[in-house]
Amino acid sequence: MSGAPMLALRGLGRAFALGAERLHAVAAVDLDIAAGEFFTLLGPSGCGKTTLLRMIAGLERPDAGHIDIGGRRVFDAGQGIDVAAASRGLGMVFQSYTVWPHMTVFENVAFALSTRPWRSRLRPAEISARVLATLEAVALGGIESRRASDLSGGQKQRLALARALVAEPKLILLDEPMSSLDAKLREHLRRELKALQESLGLTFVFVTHDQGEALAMSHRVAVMRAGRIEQIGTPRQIYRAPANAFVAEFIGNGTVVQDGAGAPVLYRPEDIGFSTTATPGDDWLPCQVLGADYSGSSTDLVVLAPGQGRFLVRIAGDQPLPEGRQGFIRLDPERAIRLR
Amino acid sequence: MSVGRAAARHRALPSARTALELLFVAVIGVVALAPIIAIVVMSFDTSTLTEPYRAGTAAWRALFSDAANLRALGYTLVLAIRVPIGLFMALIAVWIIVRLDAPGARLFEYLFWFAYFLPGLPVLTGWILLLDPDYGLLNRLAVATGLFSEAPFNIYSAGGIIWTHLAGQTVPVMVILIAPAMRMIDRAMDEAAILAGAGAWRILRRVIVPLMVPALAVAGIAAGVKSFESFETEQILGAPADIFVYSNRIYYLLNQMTPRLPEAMAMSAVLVLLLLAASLGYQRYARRRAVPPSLSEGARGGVRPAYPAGVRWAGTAALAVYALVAIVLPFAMLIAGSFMRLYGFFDLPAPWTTAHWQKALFSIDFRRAATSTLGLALLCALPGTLIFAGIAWALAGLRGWRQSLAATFVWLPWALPGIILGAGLIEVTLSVPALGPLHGTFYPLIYALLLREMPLGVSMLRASFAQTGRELVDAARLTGAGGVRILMRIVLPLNMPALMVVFLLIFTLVLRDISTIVLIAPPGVQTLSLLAFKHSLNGDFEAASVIGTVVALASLAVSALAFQMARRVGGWR
Repeated sequence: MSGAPMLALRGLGRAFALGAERLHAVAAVDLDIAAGEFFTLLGPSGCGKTTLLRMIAGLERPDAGHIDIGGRRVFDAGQGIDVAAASRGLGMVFQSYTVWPHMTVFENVAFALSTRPWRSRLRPAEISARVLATLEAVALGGIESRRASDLSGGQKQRLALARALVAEPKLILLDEPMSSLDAKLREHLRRELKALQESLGLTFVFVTHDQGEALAMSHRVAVMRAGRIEQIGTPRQIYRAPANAFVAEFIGNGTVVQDGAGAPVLYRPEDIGFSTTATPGDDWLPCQVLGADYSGSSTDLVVLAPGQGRFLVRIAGDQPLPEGRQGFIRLDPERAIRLR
Repeated sequence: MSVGRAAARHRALPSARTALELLFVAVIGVVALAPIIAIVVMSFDTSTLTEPYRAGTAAWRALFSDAANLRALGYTLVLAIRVPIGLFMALIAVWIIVRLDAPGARLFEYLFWFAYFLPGLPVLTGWILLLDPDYGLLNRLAVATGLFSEAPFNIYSAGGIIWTHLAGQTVPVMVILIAPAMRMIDRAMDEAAILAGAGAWRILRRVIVPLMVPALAVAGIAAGVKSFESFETEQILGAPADIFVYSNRIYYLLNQMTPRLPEAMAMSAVLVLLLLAASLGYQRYARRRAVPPSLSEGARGGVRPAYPAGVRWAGTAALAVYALVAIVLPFAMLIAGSFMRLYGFFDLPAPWTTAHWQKALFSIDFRRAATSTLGLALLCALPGTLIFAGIAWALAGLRGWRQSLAATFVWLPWALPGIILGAGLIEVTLSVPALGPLHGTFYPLIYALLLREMPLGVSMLRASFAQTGRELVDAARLTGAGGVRILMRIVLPLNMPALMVVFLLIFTLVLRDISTIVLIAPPGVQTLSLLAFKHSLNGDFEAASVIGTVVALASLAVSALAFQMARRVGGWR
């Protein structure tokens, strides 16, 4: 990373009272995100990723730490700095559609421009031009006079994105923006978001619990658990070299076994060889098929190797392998992922 | 028979379920319409008391030619100005409580519940002690400051009546009605606007209020309709200023040596028609403007929208001042009044005494009234809650026009002031021979009280039932359970808090009602509120204060319970 990061967090923490105890939703998080990066906060429900995002936005007040955006300190618990959410120069897209249903598409987007202080307020013609250009950018051109409540789910989410973009912030926060959409639409919007982020050179901080989404879209991913960041890395690093068993099991599937030295290693299903015809040898182990999940381009098999346990194995295509069928698996030590 | 004809015949023959549904709609219709029809029929009676019914329009002509009647209508409309004022005040209060989540919000919300459950009459005596032009404490303090040469406030005026209504009923009931709707708005709606740079006031105007329009319209109409039925406040505060509203005029017409019954009924009929028109107007409006989807979409909670601390504390300050002036102060005065040797005379050498308490609490009248109140309250609230639950459940099962019609019938009694309902029921029991034996018994009274509480009770239960997970009911249906069984085993247990709220609503109505009970209570039976009302009319404010304090303390307990229960009902964070 060169120069000052677009977003820097140091020792950021937030605890909530839970009866007599305190629940640390976010605990001492350090993070640097570069300008133009598509950065994803990934983790199971309740891991603190949304709280972290809301603290960056200024919607939640941290208990400790500081936040810099674009080199400017916007929050510092020690020095009592707390810049208002609207003055942090960022946009946000929320989980539910959150477009104002009583306004038109145009009014939803224009709202952010019309709230500017008197001196920096734009002329109506400028507002109109900016709004229409932003709507065009998110493929909502031509329906600006429609009521927001009449839009489809995908259109509403694009409108929410347009509203976040219109003030031209450099940093956009997205809180599980696609969780309300169906699978097909999600896949489509995924590509659109990525293209938009690259073409406008924006920094995206994206929150999701969907590992596929995180791996497909991000430059870097932070995996969170119980308020802490377990690992930060590129999707490939996270998948191929998980920092610990939690990351390994949360990202993708796999089978954990012990290697010769008794240390835990993980085998991804696509890294285990499978054959129905191989002859038993040093590196092929006999097994029995317990079940098969067909998913179109591949089939996931659960097999039992006597003395070794159960393995998840992925094979290409659709081979008819009934339950009880005998076969062989091969565990290549080169493909084993060592866990710490 | 051709297939087409068979199909037609199949459609024409109602199934057992359809027959049952029609029967339900008809029964609800009769229950709700009987007093209204009686009122309209009686308004066209031109006979004297001893003669049989003779149709004519004399009463209607008298209605429009008697200046006193028109003046009463005029005053009622003028005093209804409290509805928009109250709506504005309630909107601000709910916004501070729900959206700003101001420090102490929960306590303030409870105070509104307390104010709603507080019986009107005792609070009125508290207000008199504060704002009476001769001895009112606030007036005396104002004069003592030297800024005023004479008392600045006069409780016996249109302004005084409007203020006591606002503080005691209009604002609290609207707070209770609109708070759940405002809670349903996703917090991200505010947050998106905060990020766009909008301030709190702008977010209220541009985002929250437009989303709240349907709920505000319902609250406005509901309170507007109710403003026509107010009775005891005007009876006590209006008389010295010669202000008579609609209900007072009806009471006056009925209480003549020769009761002017048809005229009173014609007045009532006009009111019912006006209210029906308002109700139909609203339904048309509601159909045109569907509730915005955001009200049900993604209503998440847990963390408040991030308004600045300054705005939130300012909200707390505003609510604290209001609660102190409008709720706590009159309540404190009510208690003080019950200990005053002579009501309002703070300058006596020894102004305080417990004599009124001893006299009132050990009187036969008090003990009888307390027993009657408790008995009547239980007699109404226990079966009433179950009946309302049954109606709400049946309504949930209806579709199309049957549901709209039955729902309209359920709401009709809302438009019936207690005094008119009482008068209508007396007429029904007197003129329908089969119902004659019921005259002078508790039954018409119980019927009237339940009918008055039916709209609110049934709609609260409907809303609560609607939130019962559909899957829970479907799962029960798949086991083969019938409607009644599902209601008893699944829906009622899951909605226990809402049932408790409705039980307490009915209970407190009986505790504080005067206008319904005053005409149709069986001879010799009076409730605590009625006893306090009679003491007030006789100028015995000390005794009225003692009884009022007892009723108010009972209300305090009931409202605390209801508030706790309501927190568990949906729409609450």
